[in-house]
Amino acid sequence: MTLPWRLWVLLLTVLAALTSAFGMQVGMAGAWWPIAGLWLAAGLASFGLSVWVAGCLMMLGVAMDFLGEAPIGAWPLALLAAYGVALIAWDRQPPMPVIFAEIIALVGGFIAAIVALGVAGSVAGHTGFARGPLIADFLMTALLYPLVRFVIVPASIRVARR
Amino acid sequence: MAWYGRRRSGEPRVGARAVVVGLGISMFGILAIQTSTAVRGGIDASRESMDGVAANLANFSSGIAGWSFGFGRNAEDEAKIVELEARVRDLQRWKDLAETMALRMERYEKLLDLVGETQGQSVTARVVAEENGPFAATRIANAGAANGVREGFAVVNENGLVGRVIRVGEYTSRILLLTDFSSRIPVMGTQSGDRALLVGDSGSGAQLLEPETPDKIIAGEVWVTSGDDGKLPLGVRVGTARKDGAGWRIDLEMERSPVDFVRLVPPPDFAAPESAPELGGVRPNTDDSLRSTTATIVAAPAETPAGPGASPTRPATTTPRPAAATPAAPPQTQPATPQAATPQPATPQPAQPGVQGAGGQGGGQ
Repeated sequence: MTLPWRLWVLLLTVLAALTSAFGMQVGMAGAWWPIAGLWLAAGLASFGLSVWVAGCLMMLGVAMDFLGEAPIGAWPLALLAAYGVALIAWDRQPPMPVIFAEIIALVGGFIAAIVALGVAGSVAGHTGFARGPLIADFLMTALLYPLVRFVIVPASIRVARR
Repeated sequence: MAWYGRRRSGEPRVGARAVVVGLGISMFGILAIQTSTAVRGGIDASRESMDGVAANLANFSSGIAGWSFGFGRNAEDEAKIVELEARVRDLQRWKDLAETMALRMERYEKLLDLVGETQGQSVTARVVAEENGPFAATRIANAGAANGVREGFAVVNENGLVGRVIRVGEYTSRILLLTDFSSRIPVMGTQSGDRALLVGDSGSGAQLLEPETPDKIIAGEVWVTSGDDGKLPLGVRVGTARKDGAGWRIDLEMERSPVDFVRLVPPPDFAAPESAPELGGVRPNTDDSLRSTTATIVAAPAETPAGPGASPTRPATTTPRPAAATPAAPPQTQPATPQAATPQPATPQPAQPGVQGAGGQGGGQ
């Protein structure tokens, strides 16, 4: 992968971290707030497998762990799991239309992430795991994805897989 | 080839797959070692500093949004400020009244010789970040160790108890809400007097765990902190009881309005109970030690001449006292350090003008 692309992925990661932090503002605890990491995992998988993307997702996950008081490693594992599912969706042979690939990447990625978070919590000995806020946040993630995909998934891929 | 590189050349990327899978497996290792208390302690230290970063990030991102979307002070905000200023003036009057009453109560307690709960100085802070994720329900307040906040402080707002401080950074403190899974607060009913543990379960309100007399609980009864753990003050309002299936739940007062300004209250300042002296110098009894003690007690009357007017005998185990009639040792110049523990003979010493200043209070009687 080229250097500009790597910088672009890094910038997207920083923006995702800021989006997560924005959701921590006073008065927004009850609000549905998108899981920006899931956008990246689902969208960046369209480029194919990349260690750089995996590394950026892990960094973002660690930041989310600190922000969300989660066990360290829980969100990196969840984002990697979502990335893995999204890769399977995008790399499926014969290739499926881009819209289906995106739906499977997003929904499958969320299911993989929620399972990974539950497993991570029990492995780290954390008491309790609330799915309610996650599901609400995922609905917002899915609702906003059609807008965000234009930033994450390049036009050449969208057009080629139409 | 696009700007992002050559996509999908077709060959299986075994190395990259191995790296990504390895990263995932390493995450399991990192998660597993967090069951160790020592590791968790180390992570908590880094979390302390990260709480400040999280608060700053939340402020920064809200600042960006305010700048880019044009959020700013408007007529509505101005009206709100005027209203709040009026409320502050009103509250000032209540504060004066409360201080007068506190003074009167202090005097009553003194008159009754009542051992009250002395309360340390509380700190008022603003909540600067909120987190209501799958693992925790917490808030970050903008007061920390530099402001005198410590772990375990109770957190209250205008409605009642909000939670307690679980971690303190230099200028931030992380508050665990009553709704969090890890929250355990001893509470009691104001009418039933029943005591229970308030446990968060991330649902609406919190549940009462193991109430002592659940039959006595009344629906709508106000529950307050019992202070049984010695960490939270007694009588802070928590919420009202509500029947939920077989158990009881508390509708929390803190959920009535957004948690913005909070007061961080130190634990009650109870005097620590005296600790029992250690038994380091005492040896356990043996047959020999018991036999020798008995022999001493039995043998003691034989040494004392018995007679009709004789005084009761004392055990012979007492240490010999220094004889008062012992002739005084020749006066010597003592060093400046007085030996208080050594028994001194009561014989008056002749005053020695030349030596008096050295001992401080040696003669001149």
